[in-house]
Amino acid sequence: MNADSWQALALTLKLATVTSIILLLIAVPLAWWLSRWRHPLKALVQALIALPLILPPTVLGFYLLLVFSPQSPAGQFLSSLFDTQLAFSFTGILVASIIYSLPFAVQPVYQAFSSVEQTYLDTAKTLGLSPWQCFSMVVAPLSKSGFFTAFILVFAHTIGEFGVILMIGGNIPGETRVLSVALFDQVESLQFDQAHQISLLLVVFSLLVLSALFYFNRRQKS
Amino acid sequence: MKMKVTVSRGQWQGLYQAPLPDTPSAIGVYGKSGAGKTSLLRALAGLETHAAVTGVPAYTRPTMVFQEPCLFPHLTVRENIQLGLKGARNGGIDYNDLVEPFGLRYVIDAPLRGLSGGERQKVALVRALCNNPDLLLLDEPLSGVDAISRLYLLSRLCAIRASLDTTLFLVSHQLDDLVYYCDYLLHIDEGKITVAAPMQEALIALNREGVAGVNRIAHVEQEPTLLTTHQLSLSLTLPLPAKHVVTLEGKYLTHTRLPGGLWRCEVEVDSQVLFVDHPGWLLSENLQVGQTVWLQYVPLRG
Repeated sequence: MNADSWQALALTLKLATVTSIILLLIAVPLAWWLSRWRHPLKALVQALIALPLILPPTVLGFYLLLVFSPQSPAGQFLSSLFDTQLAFSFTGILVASIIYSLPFAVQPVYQAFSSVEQTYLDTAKTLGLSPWQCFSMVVAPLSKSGFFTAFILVFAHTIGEFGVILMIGGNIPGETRVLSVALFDQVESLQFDQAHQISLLLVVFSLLVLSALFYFNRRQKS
Repeated sequence: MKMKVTVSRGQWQGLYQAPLPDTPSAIGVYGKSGAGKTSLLRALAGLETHAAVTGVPAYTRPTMVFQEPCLFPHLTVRENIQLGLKGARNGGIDYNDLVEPFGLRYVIDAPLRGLSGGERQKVALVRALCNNPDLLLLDEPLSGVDAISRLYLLSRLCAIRASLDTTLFLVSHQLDDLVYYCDYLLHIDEGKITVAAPMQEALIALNREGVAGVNRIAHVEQEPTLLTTHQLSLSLTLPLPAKHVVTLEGKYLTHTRLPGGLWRCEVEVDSQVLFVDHPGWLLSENLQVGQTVWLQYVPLRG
């Protein structure tokens, strides 16, 4: 791989790592709240979170581009919040990745929390554990496979992101040019040798991640 | 002190009103399945969302043990018990003092996987006791344990409860257990308390009402008396802190010789086999298998 591809790989890994960490921090309280919330509007909230699963990435990218635009009030607010322009920047593709991969983080954690039996929570409560002790000593250890699955799925999904990143970030080397975009660029410019290397790397990586995930889940069940 | 507990769960409503003893006591809760016994305990434990509790002291540390032991599967026996110390009243109780009497010494560092149902219940009980509760709510916690172990565990439990000045609510389908270990009885039917009185009075009231299970108890006396029928009575001399003399009706099964010259008589009471060990004097009786006999629990003196 050439220097450009290595740079794209480093940027991709950085984006995937930061996205996975931030999403885990967001998904855990969000999934906990959802698993305990009983309200008719719950289905709508769940649908909103799951929307990126079925929405074409370009649709999400298009709306995010409008929101991130310096001409829009939201874009101006976000620019002042992040102290940078979001469109065509690393921060922009990070925010887009977080939104795009949200269901991959929330769903496994939500499933894990939902499968913690109510009697465990009742027992913890009657033993006088505080809500935080109950969560950290009972719920979190019983849900660790959900956390692990969420982290791996978000990481792998972010590595493979293309449409939304291209629309939000474009193709700026060192800033928004991730592996999938670099691959697209190399195919466009007929650099098939380089494209083969990146493609093979992504295939092997995806296979390894999914194998590890299935192996871990099987061990957890047994 | 008059307790009033209301519980609402969908269409089902429970209204529990009854006078309670003023001092920490062992209170038995009796009633048929679905009568609302568990709902009362859950309300007292603060686990019912739509419930209001008035008239009982403000318990700072209610602890409940459920019918299923509810041990945390990611922890060992010791870690499960130690969790009971985290939210304990006044720092809790040293669990090492409880591990031996409850027969958990050899499994204390074991994972939960290999534990029997009875051992799991013992762990749940020790965990609850470590919590040093001022209100201990036991919802048939020993239903899966054999009769002799159950009697032994209940006797230990009640002795510890008395030493801690803890109020105990014990739900059981075994009226004998409640008669034996509790001072006070609540009878619940269709979400209401129909009888609430000291044990002696409660049993008389329940007997008068023809509540199932009570008529099987032939005698409830403060002092031992000889049965006047021509049928045989056997005195149980288990080392248990009985409060009342209770006579139970059962079917004679068999005799076996024990090491040391004693004989063990087996009697079936309510599908459970109880044992009476004696020097052999019963063998002179012409006992037939299936013959009706009475077992008499006699309080130990001193």
